Amino acid sequence: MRDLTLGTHIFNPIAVKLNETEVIPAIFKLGLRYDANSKVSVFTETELENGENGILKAGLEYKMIEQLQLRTGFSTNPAKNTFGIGYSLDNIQVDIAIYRHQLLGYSPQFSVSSTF
Amino acid sequence: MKQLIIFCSLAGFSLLCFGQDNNQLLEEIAEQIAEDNDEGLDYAELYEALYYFSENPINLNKPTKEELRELYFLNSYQIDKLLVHIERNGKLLSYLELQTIAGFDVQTIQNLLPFISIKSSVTTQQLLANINQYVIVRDQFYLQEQRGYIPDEDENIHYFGNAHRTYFKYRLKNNFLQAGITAEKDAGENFLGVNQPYGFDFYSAHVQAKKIGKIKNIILGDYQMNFGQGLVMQSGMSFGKSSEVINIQKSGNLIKAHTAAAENLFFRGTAIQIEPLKNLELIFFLSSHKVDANIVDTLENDELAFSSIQGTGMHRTESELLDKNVILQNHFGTHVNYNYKQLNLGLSYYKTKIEGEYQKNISAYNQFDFYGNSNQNFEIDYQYLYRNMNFFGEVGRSKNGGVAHINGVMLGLDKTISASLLYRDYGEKYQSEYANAFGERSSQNEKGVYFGLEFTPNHKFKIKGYADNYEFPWLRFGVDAPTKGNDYLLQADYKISRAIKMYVRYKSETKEEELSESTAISGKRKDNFRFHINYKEGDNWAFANRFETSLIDFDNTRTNGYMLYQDIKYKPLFGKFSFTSRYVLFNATEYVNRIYAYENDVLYGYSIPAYYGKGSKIYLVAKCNVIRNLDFWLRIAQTTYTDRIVLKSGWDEIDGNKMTELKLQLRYKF
Repeated sequence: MRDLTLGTHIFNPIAVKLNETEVIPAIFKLGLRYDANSKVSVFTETELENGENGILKAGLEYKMIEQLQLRTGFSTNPAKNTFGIGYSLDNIQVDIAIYRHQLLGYSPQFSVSSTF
Repeated sequence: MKQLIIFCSLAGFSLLCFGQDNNQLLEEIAEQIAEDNDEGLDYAELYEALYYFSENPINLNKPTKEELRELYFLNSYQIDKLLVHIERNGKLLSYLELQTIAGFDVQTIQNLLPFISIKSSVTTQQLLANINQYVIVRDQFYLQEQRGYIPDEDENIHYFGNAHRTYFKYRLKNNFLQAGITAEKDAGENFLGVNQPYGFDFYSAHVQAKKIGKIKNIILGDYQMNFGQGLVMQSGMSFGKSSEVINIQKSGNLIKAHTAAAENLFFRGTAIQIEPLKNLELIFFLSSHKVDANIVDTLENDELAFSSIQGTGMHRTESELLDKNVILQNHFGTHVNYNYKQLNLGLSYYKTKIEGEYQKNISAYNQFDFYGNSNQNFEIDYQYLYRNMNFFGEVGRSKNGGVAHINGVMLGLDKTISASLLYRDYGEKYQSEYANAFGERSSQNEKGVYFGLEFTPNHKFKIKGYADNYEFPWLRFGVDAPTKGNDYLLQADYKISRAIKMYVRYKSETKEEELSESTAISGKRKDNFRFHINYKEGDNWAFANRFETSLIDFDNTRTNGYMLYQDIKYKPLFGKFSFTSRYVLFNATEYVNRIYAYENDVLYGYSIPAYYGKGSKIYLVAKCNVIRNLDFWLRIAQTTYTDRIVLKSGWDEIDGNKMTELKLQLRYKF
């Protein structure tokens, strides 16, 4: 049941150029997921964009019941706190999230996805 | 079922080791707590409680919340889970059963063992007869002469008294009764002179009775109170952000005797806690207490106006003595606590009345602070344990309409994962003299979100960390703009064996500050990295090492500090003599790079100095059991600097680059 998953995502490693002066940056993400049991998962990720400061993210998901997921986490650079609720219904997943930026305040997000 | 659980945990891992010397373990626990919290707390209280319970263990089959709360390392979640466990499953049959309770990891159980028992055969008579009494006398001073004690050309000596700090304490305690006297004279204060007709400069005393019928607790004398999450009342010791990343809830609902020699922030009078109905508790308190203040004016009605209340407790010169006990503060109030199953609701109100007028120097940043002669505070707090989630919070309001609130949750999600989340919003207008709630600074003008996570994959390894993002919406001292900050901690603990433990800690804080040459705001980044290791050699010897660096990056300037220390401890299991010694080398030229570290001290004493400058320090604390009930401690500490020839400042100045402090203590138990 205890499970560790590692994932990497490399975006644009060959430095594609938009034009003579503009280079699309390379972005590297390295993530780790730990499933403590069927209800609790912890996520950590570090992200580095070419030429920028690194970002560290950590999050937690807790399934109160199978259908209802509670989430929270934070990221650095800029500092943000995130909170979310997910609800699964058959093949439809509804997620509501909100993040808190220290200067910009709260930004809500909403998503519906369906698997078929 | 119970047998099965016990069997499982036996098979899992065995953690109990009863052979260990209690005193040694005690010191480790106190050190551990101090390590986690380092800066500026009064640990005398903590020692007092731990030593008492090590000699009079809490009966774990009949524990009260109050008793468990006095063990500072247990959090409310653990206390509630333990009480619920006992209620549901009946008496604990074995210590091993603790492992099955949510929130109790191996470290917590090991820490708990010296203070608990599960025997239930102790009678009330036995508890009554079991009276502990002791007397402590302590003296400390610098061997080098300080400027304030040296006669000038006119043969005048600045300080009235001698350079000794002298401390006396008497204590009586059993399960139902407690009484004590503390007396202290600070260095430079007179003893039995014209200025001190009563001998010592400071006296504190109390008599306390517990568990007499419906009266749960009654105190006459000096006392401390903690309610809710500390938004209106948290006068005693409390922990804030620390490497105990999950434990962010204050346990509240407590009145206890003031036993330390701290001369400010306590109450003098009476407090009573009664339980008229099951689940309902009432606290009433009344206090009248003279405090030191800086007098600026005399008002028409002959009352005094003052600009600040002084907390140092120093009365060494004419001017300091003039400020002594000049303002009378009266406090009265009540706290109601209602308990229904896993829900706990609290409500309190208190009023402050000052005989005098608080006239602060008002500038933009502190215009919302308290002034005048009376204030009122009100709060509502709650705690609710739902399955593996412990919710808590509080709302406070002051007379001027200022509001503050705090809400949080501690989650025991799995044996390997715990988390905590907290949101606070303390208005810039909120005022409370005794507030000390979770946060970066005083419980005013602050908003923030804290998230803590702890991962314990097995009993050898632990990773924990927190992220705290906060804002100060209004100006604060020295910064003429709203500012923000971020605070991160990451720590990995590794226990190789029972004898070898180590951890690495990385702490990073970025806080906006004003630049020195302009009023522009810029982030000041402070990074601390620490490696610490403890190792034991046989039964008698223990060693520790620490390496710590501090890096500050502010206004395009980087400065750093280093510290390295070696500890040697000799504590034979059976023997009359033991000692602890440290050698530390530090190099932190700038004060901002100072590094704090807990130092061993005589019993009930504590010292957490900031190492800064360039130099070294060596100390030795020796304890000797002279005769059966008489113990003697000696502590000698010498600091040598290589980058300065004058130490300390003002009238405490020492000419030279060395300072040596000597501390002597005697305790007689009867």
